[in-house]
Amino acid sequence: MMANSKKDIQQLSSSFRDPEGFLFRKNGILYRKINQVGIKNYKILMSSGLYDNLTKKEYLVSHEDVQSADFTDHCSIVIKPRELDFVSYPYEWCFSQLKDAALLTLKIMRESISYGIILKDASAYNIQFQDGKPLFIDTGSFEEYFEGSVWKGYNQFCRHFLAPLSLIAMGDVRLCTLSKQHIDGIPLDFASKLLPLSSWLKYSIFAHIHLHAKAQKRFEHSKDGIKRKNKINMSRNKILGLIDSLVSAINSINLKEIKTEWCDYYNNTNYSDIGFKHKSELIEKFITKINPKTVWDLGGNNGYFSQIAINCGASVICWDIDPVAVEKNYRNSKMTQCKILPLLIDLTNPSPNLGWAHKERLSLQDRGPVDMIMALGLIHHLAISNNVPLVAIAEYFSKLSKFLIIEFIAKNDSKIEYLLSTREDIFNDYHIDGFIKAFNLYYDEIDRININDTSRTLFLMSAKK
Amino acid sequence: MVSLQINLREDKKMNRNTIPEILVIVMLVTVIFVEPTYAYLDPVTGSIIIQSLIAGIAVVGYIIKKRWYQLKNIFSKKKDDNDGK
Repeated sequence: MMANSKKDIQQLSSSFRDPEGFLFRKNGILYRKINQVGIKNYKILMSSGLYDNLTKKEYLVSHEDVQSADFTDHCSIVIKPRELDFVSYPYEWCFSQLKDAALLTLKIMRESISYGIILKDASAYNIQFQDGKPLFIDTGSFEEYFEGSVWKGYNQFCRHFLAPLSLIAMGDVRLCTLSKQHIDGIPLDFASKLLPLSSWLKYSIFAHIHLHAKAQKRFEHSKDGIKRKNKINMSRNKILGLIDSLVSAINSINLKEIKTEWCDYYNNTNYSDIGFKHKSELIEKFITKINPKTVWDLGGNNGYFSQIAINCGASVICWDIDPVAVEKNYRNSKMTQCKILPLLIDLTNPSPNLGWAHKERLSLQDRGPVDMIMALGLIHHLAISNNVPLVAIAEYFSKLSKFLIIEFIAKNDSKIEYLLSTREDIFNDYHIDGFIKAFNLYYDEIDRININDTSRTLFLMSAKK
Repeated sequence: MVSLQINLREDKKMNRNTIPEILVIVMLVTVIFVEPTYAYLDPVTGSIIIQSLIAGIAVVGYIIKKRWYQLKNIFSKKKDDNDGK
């Protein structure tokens, strides 16, 4: 966050590009300031009825007017938006999350046009997931629409949504993290190069990506292009036709059925029914004992154990390394209206601080801590598959939350025997005493119970300090 | 390219015998065959032109669809009215 000593407010480090306004915190409460240049557009949004329409449909974040607050002045407006549970980024989303975010942007665009308003940008970062659904969070993105004008957000929409979606669906599912490298969207010439030849035969991809990229290149230094651009007149029907075309393009991109290492994890466990049931009961017992408000389930796969935390009343994020497991979890949560937020993360290389001055997009750790993390069936992947020392795991976990539920898996477990079958066992400290010794440096043990019918032990711990 | 020009100017001040011939050849070839680079790219113009082109094609389908729904509404209203009677 950037300090603003003049008014004792903390401007959010992600909110600095728009001259019409910015987000800030005062006494921990989130506000949006709308500068003088943005007031006209804000008033049009509010008086047109579009705000009421979009918030009623739960498309747009609602806010309160706080004009009476002591930090407001005559030349700006301050509003208090609804606080979100968590801010996630497009490079942490699965395919369907990005697709739903794209469709919501286009729905809002279509509604806006009918009110004489247009979205001035189409950033994927304007969407967040709240209560299991996408929500548009940038109240400052709306501006008056003038008949004849083009949609300024079109290129950004293609870079932020269409390019990554087509790359994931037609290229490789792992390309969902490509947005981490290109935080303002995938450059279209780059997407065009990466897409398979077959994509040229698909009209929507051919037009909005390949041809779009070629046109950008063709006219990047052209005076003739500027003359042509200045003559363009986009009628309202043409804008609506363009939105229709983009909706069809997004709807036509679908993920093929893909099998990955983790996508059928819970159908391939080495637990007996007794062990699985006992583990579930213990997790519920530990969560009930602590009663956390916020939980991160690390390596949570399809969210089976996250669901227990949800049932105990917590707000839960289920993190996993596998895009297909996250995809399955999201689709299932959407179908069952479960409020788990499934997100993608590689814990051995978690989301870093990114963007301008390393402050625009926050790291996983900087978006915590939460009340509790769960690391179930995870420790052996970090300690054995990735050679992370137990002490380092304990240290990092202690920074993410106060309470920890962790499952220790002994070397005689079939999963670890499999991991060690093709490599030398160099993990002399990997045993329950070594685990306890390492974690005792950062945690106080609250409870410890062996899971029936397994060689696994479940621990409940509280971080020191 | 700019940096190469500066280097060439600086090279004139240097003792020519100290510059290996191969370096001069490489520099000349680079200067002759290098593609011009521009510091200021304009990615917007092409994007707007293509936006207008795609919208021009899409608007035909959009208007047909709009008229179809209008017709459908008229007929379904008439049907409802008849059912009501």
